[in-house]
Amino acid sequence: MNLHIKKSIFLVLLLITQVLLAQDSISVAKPKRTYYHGLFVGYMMPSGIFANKGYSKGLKYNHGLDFQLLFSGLKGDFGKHILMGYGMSFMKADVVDIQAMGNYTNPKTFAMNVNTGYAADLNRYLEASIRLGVGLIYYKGEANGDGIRDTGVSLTMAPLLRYSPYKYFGLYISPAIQYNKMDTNAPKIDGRNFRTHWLFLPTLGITLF
Amino acid sequence: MKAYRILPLLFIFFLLQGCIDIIDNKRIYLEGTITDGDGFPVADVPVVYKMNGFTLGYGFTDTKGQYGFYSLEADAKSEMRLEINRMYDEVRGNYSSVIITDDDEFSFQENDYRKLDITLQKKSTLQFSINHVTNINADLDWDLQYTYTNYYNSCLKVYTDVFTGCYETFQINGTQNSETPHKDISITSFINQEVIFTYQINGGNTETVSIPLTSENVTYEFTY
Repeated sequence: MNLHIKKSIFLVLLLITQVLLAQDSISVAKPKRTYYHGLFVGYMMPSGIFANKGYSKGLKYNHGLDFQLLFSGLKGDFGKHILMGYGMSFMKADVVDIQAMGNYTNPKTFAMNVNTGYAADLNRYLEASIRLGVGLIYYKGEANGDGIRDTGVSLTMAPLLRYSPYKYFGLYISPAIQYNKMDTNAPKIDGRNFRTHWLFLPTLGITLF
Repeated sequence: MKAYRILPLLFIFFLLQGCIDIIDNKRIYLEGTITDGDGFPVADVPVVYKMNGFTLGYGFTDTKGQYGFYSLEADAKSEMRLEINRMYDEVRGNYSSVIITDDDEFSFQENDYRKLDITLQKKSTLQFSINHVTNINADLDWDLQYTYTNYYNSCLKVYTDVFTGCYETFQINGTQNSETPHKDISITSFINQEVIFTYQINGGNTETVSIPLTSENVTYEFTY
């Protein structure tokens, strides 16, 4: 099993354990929430999915950082659950199959997106949400003294579990899925094309505010 | 204009030298089959796509002699080269190399996909020796001309003094006399080519000997 997935499962279990322990030891009532908000700073462990048919066939992803600012977009009992926001992320990868990608090194990804979503409390400390993001993704690699650039449109779906033992600080986990519609023109060989790009982005991080 | 005012321009000019402009959001695909002169597939042959001396993509043939790889593409049409069976400017293994330069027939710029089947010739090594076998002093001026193991599809690229057809041809020469009456030379060319040996003894008539390379290892002794 992929090491990143193993790490993710372990940290989910750790988070749930922490939540259960916290519920037993803390009994102070939490005031009813009037809105949702937070700055999410996460460590991503990306891996390509459906890679043999898509852009990431010859890439091995290392890690990434994700920054998302989310807040209640509307007022009212229902409106406060509707999230809005924006964010950006960075990822690093290696070209492990030059025959599949071309001769370049050190591809780095920059993505920026706007978000909408829905959030709800599960209990006093746990909040669940789902975020849908749309934005632009930009790959940059190094090749022969020049840069190689691949661009595309990025769609992200990120279910998220947030644990907030303190008012302004918490932890979260998010097994996000990202689909990138790349602009890269290449002949389609053996069913593979450079336009389709799927990523699994398990993310662990902290929340502020 | 003061000299210092153009220094930044010169700096930028030198930075731009040797660079290539890689096309964003683009890959090309190259594939084909590499066989030897008898039609058998040749495995583990590198196929390198270059532009202006920079490698944009490469692949190797499998056991069926087939290669296929994606490559970057650049805007430098006049300097395109596809090199088969060469790595780091050296010919590999027991086969000749092929260098395809940009022309109408092989242009990759118009298409993102190209299929090229290539035939490589087997190498042949000639062990050539010159021996003085008489008691009479004689001066021997000699010249060896042979085809090197590079083959070009285009005759436009000339890298040596002598260029015959589309083959890269080398020429070596020397003089033997009483002080150095003997000489051993090893030459690598490829099968079905000829090595042309030209000589003069004591400034006399020029004579020519043609040495056919009929197998992978050929030996030839010239005595005078």
